Amino acid sequence: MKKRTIYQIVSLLALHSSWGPEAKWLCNPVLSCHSCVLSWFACPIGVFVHYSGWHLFPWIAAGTVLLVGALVGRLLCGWVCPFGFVQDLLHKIPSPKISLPKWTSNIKYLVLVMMVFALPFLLGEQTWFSFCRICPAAALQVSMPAAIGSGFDLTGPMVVRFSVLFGVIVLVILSSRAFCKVLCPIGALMSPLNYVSYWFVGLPREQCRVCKSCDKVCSTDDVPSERIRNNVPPNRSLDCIVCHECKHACEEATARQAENGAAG
Amino acid sequence: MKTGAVQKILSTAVALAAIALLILGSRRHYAVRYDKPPDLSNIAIGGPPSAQMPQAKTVTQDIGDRDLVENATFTGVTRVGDSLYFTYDPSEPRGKQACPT
Repeated sequence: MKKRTIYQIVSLLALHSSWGPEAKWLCNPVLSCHSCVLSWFACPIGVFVHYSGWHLFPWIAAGTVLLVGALVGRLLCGWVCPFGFVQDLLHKIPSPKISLPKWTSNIKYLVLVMMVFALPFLLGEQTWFSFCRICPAAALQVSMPAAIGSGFDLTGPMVVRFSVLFGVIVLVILSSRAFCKVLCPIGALMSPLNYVSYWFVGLPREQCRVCKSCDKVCSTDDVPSERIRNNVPPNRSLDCIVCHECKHACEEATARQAENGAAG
Repeated sequence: MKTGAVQKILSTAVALAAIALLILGSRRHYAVRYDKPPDLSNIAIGGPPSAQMPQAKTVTQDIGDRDLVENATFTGVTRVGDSLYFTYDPSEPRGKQACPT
């Protein structure tokens, strides 16, 4: 099992292990609904929606998200986010695989601006047009258990969330991390911080043979080879989730090349 | 492939800005109101009508940004006009709460 998968499983369990205590004053910048009875931390999106509705600036929530981003960029997207892990598992389902057009990755910024900030600011934190009303993580963690508990007596909000969840599941089976690329408002928040984070994925440019092994394994179809050839760390990109798959693929390709060279 | 000096300066600047937000946030306080329902326990049923019925009382509590973040996770506070109001009785223990959104 890959090291990243182990981290993702441990994170999934650790983030949803509360038997009563919680630290909901702390925003964890991954997509995990704080209404889940097992969750320890707050979701920054839910907090930002409420602060927007209250017409207040979310000092501590914004500071937390900014600090995590400055330290590690979108590393949590690739290694900790429970919904990211669910997407990785779903993408393993055999099916035709597609690459989404590059412009679709701009949709998440519109989702962030409209459904997290603008519409809650104008219409209140309880508005039907906030991201929380359509969040697929909330559908899995909160609406699904509620639906099961009520004997599948579905309410209107549940139907909306389950519809969005179904669409996301289909998209993710076809395209790796499609939700992260196209819709995730946390991804939209953290993306620019990839350019300023201390964390970087180091790949030796001088050894690059332009084999494009890194491009083939990129979780978000982000073409890391273009940056590597220009001696730029591959995570200096809006769509990189810092999964390090490109680095592992490069190391394996280099090792294979060395073995073939030694054998030949 | 290394991270350059400009990159490090940018990273440090953003990290310092984040820490500044956290420090400023820790010093922020917000006045949140609660309409405490009237205490009707002393009203005698069937007795003479009293001259004045007990009225609901608006109580204001000062909470920090950290407490406000917690309240955001279950819509414990709502905005009415220019004021913030608790959606529950803050003097009662609340336990785990789910967000109605």
